[in-house]
Amino acid sequence: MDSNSDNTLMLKVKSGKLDKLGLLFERYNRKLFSYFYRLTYCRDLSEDLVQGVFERIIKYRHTYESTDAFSTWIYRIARNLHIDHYRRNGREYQLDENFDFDNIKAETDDDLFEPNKDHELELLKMAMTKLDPVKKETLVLSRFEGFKYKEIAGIMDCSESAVKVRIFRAINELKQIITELRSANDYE
Amino acid sequence: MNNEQHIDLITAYIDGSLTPDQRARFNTLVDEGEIDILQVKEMESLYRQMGKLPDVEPDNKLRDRFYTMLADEQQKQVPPLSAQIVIKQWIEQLQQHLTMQRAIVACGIFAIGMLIGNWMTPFQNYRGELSALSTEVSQMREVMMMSLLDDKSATERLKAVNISTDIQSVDSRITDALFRTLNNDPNVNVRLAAVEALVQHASAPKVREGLVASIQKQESALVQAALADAMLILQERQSIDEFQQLLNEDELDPSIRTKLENTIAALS
Repeated sequence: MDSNSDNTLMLKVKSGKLDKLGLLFERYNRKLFSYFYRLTYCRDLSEDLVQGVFERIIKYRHTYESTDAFSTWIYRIARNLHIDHYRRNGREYQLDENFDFDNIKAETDDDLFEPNKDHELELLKMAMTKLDPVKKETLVLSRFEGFKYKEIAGIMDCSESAVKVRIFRAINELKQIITELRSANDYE
Repeated sequence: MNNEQHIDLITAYIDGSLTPDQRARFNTLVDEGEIDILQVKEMESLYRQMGKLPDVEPDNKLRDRFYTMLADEQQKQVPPLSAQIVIKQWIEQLQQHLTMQRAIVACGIFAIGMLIGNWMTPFQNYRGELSALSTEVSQMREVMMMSLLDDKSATERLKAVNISTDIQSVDSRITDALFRTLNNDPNVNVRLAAVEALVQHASAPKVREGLVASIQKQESALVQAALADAMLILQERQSIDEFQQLLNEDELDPSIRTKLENTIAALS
């Protein structure tokens, strides 16, 4: 086993060598921040949640088993932390990005022939905020965090089939939201 | 809208994980119209487009917060002291106080040296030698006194009695010699000197008894008077009978009679 693999480092942390957690932090803090940010669109909250993940790792390090894939384990902690926060505070996030859903820039005639990429991305970003939380989370883990369906099933504590269904429905729902946003924009 | 019964194939197509068998089946289903390839392509396009959303980076303060928290946790979790660590810390403390310990050790060695030196040095020998010398001088005086007491000259015998007063440790041989002089010496002055010398050793009961017994043996009024004074000093009540017997003697010098009566009265 690689002496610097995630699993080996975490086993060292478990045995009391807390300094090894620094390397794991360097490997995962950006990914976790990105994960939380795409779920909440709130920088401060995302940073708090990343910090919370590492605090929980220290607190519950004795529960880590050598057979656990560290990446799956840490995202399971991250997910539970986010759910706990959601239960305590509700979904009252102060969005950092100034989404103006009512004033999306209309596509010009030129855009119809060569779609404005920034505009499309803006629509996609807004559509993501409107997506069902569970579907959005599944999509984020798959598309942004690069987990395979089986791994996502492990993180979200569901079957692999359920993950595929969620991905399938999430993309369709996203498509539908974008269409609606575009239609609303065209109407105005 | 595609039927959800083909989700496995469609999701595998979207994330590019179709196996050759799945791809063949997927193509068949597309050909049979079971899967709308345009819709699947749209889904794939949207899925890929998501990857173009800009990445976000955490602020540096997150790193600061984490390492502060980690340092706090490390401080909290100081491991219990093992015997090895305790010994190591003890050695380190010893090393830290090495200068002090060296000074203490030096003082200890010096003190031990002083004690041993005081016990074994010539100074002690000098003391012993001095004591031995003193004993030798005392023995010499004793020998000299013994030999002078037998001298014909009264002056020499008087000198011998005086020498006895300078002898520190008086034993029975000296007191016996002095009693012989007191009871038998023909010279009154010598016997008077013997009385004075024996009084100095009157702490010994044998000397006191000897002095009392000597009263009857004295014919000289001067010696009798000296013994009477000695008995008063020593407050020796046993001498009363002896003095009483002297008073009963007709030959007693009249000049001493009053003194003896006064002595008896003082001792009674």
